[in-house]
Amino acid sequence: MATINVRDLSLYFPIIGADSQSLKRYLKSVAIGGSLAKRGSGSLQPLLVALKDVSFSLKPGDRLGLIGANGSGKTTLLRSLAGAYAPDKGSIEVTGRIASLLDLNLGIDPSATGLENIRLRGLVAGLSLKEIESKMEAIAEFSGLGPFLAIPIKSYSSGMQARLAFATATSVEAEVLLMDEWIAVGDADFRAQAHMRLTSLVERAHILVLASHEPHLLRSLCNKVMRMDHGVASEIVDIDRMDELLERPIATPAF
Amino acid sequence: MKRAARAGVLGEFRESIGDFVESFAKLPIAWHLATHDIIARYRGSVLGPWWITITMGALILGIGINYAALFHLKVADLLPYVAVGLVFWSYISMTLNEGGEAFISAGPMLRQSALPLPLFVARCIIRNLINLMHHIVILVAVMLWFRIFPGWGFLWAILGVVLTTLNLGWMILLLALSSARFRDVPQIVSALLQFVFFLSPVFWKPTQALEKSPLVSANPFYFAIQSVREPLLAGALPVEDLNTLAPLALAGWVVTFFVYAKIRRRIVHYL
Repeated sequence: MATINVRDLSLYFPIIGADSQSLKRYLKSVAIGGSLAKRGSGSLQPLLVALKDVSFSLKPGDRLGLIGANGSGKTTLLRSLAGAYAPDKGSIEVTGRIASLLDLNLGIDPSATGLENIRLRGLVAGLSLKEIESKMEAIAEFSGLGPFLAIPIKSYSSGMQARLAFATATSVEAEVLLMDEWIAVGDADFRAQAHMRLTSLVERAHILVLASHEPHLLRSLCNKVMRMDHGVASEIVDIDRMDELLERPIATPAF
Repeated sequence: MKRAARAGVLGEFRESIGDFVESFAKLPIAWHLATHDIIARYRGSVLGPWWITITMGALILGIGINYAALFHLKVADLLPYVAVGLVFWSYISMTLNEGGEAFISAGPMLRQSALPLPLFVARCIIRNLINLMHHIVILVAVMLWFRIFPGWGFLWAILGVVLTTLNLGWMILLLALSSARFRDVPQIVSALLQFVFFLSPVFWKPTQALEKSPLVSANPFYFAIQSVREPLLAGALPVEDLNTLAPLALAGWVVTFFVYAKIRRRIVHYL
């Protein structure tokens, strides 16, 4: 059974190769992005606070939408849920197989064919070669790319690449699906298909976490929403109350 | 999937061991990525990786015949010596050269999946082992031509390859860890390797006077090459070389493990 448990998660990024003092002064005046902090006294290397004390939990059937300005920590949170980052404070626990669609180009070799790239992506997503071969036909069919699968994907449009990536990632039989909003690059026809696929995933008691700036995309796919500001998460509210979240003023970062 | 903040030194050790165990379980992924690397690098080329084999064959012929004439040595003596030396040296130096990029080149993957870091060290080693397999053709040809039959030495040579690879493993893990933060490291390594290549008895034979020089007696690269060259050409068990390589691998891995446990959390942020 899929669950997500995030407790007091804080994540700091070291900033390399920047003058910490002037950077800090400058960043104070900017409304987007994480906030800066100083590592213990004596260290000159500044830290970017990407996530600060984020806590929430999701249960099967939850479809969480993440909203927030650019640089507010949505993608960082998604990557943390994918297991890419080790927390500086707190913990993340995800049960169930995870599929992440964060980067269209993950494991993608532009000069390799569509079929080869399905294999690459599948492997990175945690499928065995055998599983990939058995799903190949279904993935190829769902992507709707037909004969294009046999040509190098450098000749694909970004929408076609999105189809390939989405078809592969959602075939992983994942219980937890993490998505950044790029899925919007597909055409209307594909978006309808993708929507059906996502709905059926969620109906099978799976969890979806989707970061997006598009209120209507979130309304159609999610049933809960959470807002991020400078790495700080709001409480999770019902999707019907999204406007309320959107109207809140942006909190200034605390240094 | 569980990720948590630092929980004491022992906790970090446990997680580090977990990374290695997971990497081992996921070796098929490393294998597939490595073969894909080779296919991708030589896409559109008819001979593909065999090109390096051909280049190396030409170099071996050139050095073997030319140097034999220059220094009044027998071609039958020098050429096989140079052949094994260069083939194995190229495995060592290519692995070390590419090792620094192991994490950097996998940046996009590491930033959005839970794949463990050591997996990408394995990918680099497997890729270079596959290249080494191509070059073995040269050795077979040379040994047939000069009628050298190593007998059991063949098995000892494999032991030499294994021990050398174990050493390369910790070396490139260290290199990959430091290169992620300090991007000069791969450049420094490639400059140093060029230097080491000329200083080490790869294509020249150490004279008796040189045997005691640290270039020969304390040169791990020389031990590595000899651990394969001696058994292949003389059929002998290279006791001294293996006795050096095994403790070196052990010590190297212990040190590298501590370094890994200390900085593994930060690596993804540097990419």
